[in-house]
Amino acid sequence: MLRNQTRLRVVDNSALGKQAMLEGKPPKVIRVYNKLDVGFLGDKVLVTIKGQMKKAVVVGCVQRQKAFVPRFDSNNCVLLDDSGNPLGTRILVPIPNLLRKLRPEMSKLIAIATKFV
Amino acid sequence: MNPIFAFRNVSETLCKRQLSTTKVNFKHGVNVKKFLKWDREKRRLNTDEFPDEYTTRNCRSPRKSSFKQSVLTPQLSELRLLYPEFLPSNFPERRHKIKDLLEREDMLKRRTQVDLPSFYVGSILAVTVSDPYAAGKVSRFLGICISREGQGLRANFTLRNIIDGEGVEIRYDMYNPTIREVEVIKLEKRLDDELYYLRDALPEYSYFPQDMLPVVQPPGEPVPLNPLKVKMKPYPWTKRWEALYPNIKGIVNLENVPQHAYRRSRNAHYVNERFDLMKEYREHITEEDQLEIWENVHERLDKIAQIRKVERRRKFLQSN
Repeated sequence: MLRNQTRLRVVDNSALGKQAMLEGKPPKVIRVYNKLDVGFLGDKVLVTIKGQMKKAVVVGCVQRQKAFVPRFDSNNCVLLDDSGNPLGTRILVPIPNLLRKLRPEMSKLIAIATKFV
Repeated sequence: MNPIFAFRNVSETLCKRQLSTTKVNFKHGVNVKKFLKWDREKRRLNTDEFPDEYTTRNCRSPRKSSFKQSVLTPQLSELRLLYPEFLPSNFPERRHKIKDLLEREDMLKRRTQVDLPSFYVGSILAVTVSDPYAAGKVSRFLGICISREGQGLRANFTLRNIIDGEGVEIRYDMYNPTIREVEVIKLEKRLDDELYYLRDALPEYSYFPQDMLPVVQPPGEPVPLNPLKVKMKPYPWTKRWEALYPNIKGIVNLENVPQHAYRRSRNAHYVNERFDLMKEYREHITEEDQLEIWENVHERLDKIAQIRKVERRRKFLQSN
């Protein structure tokens, strides 16, 4: 459950994300693009990161999930640029298989993933 | 609280206190209320001298042994630990004899289709599931079983592992038809019934390689108990383990926990739980009721095992 002001962990290899995580200033959610305004697995969110606004996709949640859906130890996100393509070239942690359901929107994100669980 | 129980409690604890070289100064005899208050406050400190020995709401109370001779044979009472999902619900309002019977039939039917091995919390399992979204439509996950809950067809277990430095947990419904195979990689028990504390323990305790080879359990030997005690990460945790600490045996001493954390955990304690006979009666199912279930289940599982044995032999002969 990601509300406004929730901190996320950037799990791609984009320079912006890496730098923000190293400085100990992980991005904050300021808007969730769904009706509830509460983010779940696979939702698009708007985050503030190092003074910029960026869109991101939630690829892992700490929240208890349904059976057969993985639950992670941190709330993970992948940063997107303005045209909706991922900023980095690789995702460094496993992402759930369930995200394949959201193709073709997610197809570029799935292409840069290294592992699925 | 029953005054007799209260008095016994006071006298018992007083004896303990005097033995443990602490001073109890009550000027005019023992004031029960005052003593219990003092006792409770002291216990909350959870020091070595005053260990916090009460169970909490979150933990299931330990099963008390009855004075009577057991109705169940040792063989049948072992099934209770191997297949806990065959018992009716812990909540008495959810028990229904016909529903439970029908569910049990369905479970046994499913067991004829897929081999669901017996395992415990703390065992290492690998589960293969057919998943429409996975590459090749099959996904396999290996991890340590950290909990096993639910009765009947709702029975489930959770596997935990660390992949690329990220903790991953997956809950599996045991009787879901999408499950293809459950392999027991290492059969063992741990000191606790639930290992949720691995989330806040150091990552090395929940890491197992995905291509781990199965460890062969010699037949006829008892299931080994792994007396491993885990080290926790530094203090702020996702759950208040310090409140549950005395009941969790698989953790080494907690360090750097501030005193106010114990004080805050005051409401988590249901102090007189160990005297609550009705609570225990409601939570447990009497042996007389269990006997009927286990006799039936034992018979059916034996038949399934025999059929499987014959099939295996036939396959072996065909391959030769």
